[in-house]
Amino acid sequence: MYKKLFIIRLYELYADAIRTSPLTRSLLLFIAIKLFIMFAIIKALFFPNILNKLDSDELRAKTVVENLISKSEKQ
Amino acid sequence: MNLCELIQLIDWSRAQFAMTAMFHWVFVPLTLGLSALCAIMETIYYRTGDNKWRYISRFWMRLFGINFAVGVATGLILEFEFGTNWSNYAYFVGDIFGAPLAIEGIMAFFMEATFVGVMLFGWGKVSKRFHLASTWLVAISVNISALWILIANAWMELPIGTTFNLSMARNEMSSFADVALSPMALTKFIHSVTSGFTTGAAFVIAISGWYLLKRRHIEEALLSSKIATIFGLISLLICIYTGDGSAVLITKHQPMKLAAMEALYDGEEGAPLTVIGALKPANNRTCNDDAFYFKIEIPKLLSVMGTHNINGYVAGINDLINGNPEHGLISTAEKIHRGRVAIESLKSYHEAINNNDKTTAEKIASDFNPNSENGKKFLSENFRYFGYGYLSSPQECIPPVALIFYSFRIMVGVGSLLLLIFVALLLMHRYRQNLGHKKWVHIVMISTIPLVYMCSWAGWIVCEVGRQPWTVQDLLPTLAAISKLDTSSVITTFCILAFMFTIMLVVEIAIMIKQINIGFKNE
Repeated sequence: MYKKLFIIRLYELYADAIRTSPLTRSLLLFIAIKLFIMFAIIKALFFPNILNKLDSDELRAKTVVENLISKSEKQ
Repeated sequence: MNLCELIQLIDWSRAQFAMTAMFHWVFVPLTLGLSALCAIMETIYYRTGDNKWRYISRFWMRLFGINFAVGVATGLILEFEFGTNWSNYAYFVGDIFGAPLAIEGIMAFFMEATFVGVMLFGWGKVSKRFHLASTWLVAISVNISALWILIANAWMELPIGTTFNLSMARNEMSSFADVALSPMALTKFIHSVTSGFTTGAAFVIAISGWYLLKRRHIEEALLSSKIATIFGLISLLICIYTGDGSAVLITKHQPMKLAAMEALYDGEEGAPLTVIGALKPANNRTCNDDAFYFKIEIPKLLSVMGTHNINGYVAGINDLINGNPEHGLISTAEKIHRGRVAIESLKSYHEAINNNDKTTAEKIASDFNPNSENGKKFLSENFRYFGYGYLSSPQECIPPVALIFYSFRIMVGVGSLLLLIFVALLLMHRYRQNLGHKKWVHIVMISTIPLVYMCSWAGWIVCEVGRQPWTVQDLLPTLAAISKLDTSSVITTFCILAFMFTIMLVVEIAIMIKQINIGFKNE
């Protein structure tokens, strides 16, 4: 007998739940909106990874060393 | 940036991180506790075949699903904040955070996303056995996810299993086992997870109490609350036991936190534990005799808790600041000096590299080599106090005593009250008292939700505020961990996140209330 792959059966579980349960639809919509706001707005506009802007690990190290030393010199 | 602006930036960044973590901790403990309770309830259904347990399990799974959906990925915002507000810290801790968080991310995605689907939507579509296995896998995987985060958090309090890479200025993992199995990590994991279990149990008890008060679903509410009471009581007892383990570790590795928790200014052998007391204002507190307006103590108990020895020595704030040679404590001023030596070495090394002075660079590098005698000496005498080099006065390493003192008492006091409630409910269930008709009991049951969150949050305040000013204990204070940012941008993101989290909480509560009103369904 033909047996479906686990991943297909899992997809069908989700698809069936979305079709039949308004609560599931609401929650999945909520998750989608939340993830969009988190990544497309909050992360992209307000939370850049400061050190990732630098091209190499050496540059990142140099920047952090400068920060660590300059902050100690203020004391 | 002047000092005043820097302090404002640190305070707003800390406030933002604290707010995010506290909102995150609304969802996490409920996920941990409810998933385990759902697994237990479904196991009862599997073993007895009683259909009642099927729809009881499905009801609590529905609430678990709502909490899971609303809370999912809120922890990622903490990681956003690491990269933006705390970039020096994120870099300095290196792969200590990277490895556990990567494992957590993969585990969370593959295990939780897969088996949560089966758990929530697979009723009647997969075999009973496979469904039960999926529910248990969800419960196990959410707890394993917590493990990785707590390992990283524990490393910040007890930074072991790593070596400092001088040229890259960051810590690198030298022993995964030392990091993952550090006593701090194991104790913290069990303590946090069992507090999550207690939260889940309190949630089930409270909702059951509400049904009993409204005279709805009485049988289901009684059965649910009975299981939750047993589970909550066992979890809370383990939580208390590991709290004792934490006290020993804090006494050894974070003595300033313990001294602040007790507002202990002068160290003592056979130190008493303050049960309750009213602290005088900070400026008036200089020694044990003038720290309190009044206090009630239990003799010797702090020594017993902290050292497991009735006459064990517990250091006070003054001992840690001024040093106490009799007990092998060096002064904070000396630690500041040693920290500055370590920072100066870091500076000299990078200057030597820039000037192509290989001899000097190699000499300094040998000081940081943990495999050489010279290196072992330098690392234990100077580098372990690296963070102190950023402090301008010894008093900067004293955390806010009053906040920690009162938070600790809230945690212990409310935790004890919860223990009392659980024991009383268990006895009522055991001796077949008619819980269904005692309104005051239902109100007490409902009160367990605010109580358990109050207890849990107070515990995190003790843990995280208690180790101030350190982001990494003794190695990196908040002052050095913070990025160069405008305070106004941090205030803006603080407000945005506060708004977003409030919406999320309102949505969660609204959907939960709707589902609770619908109640248990014979599906």
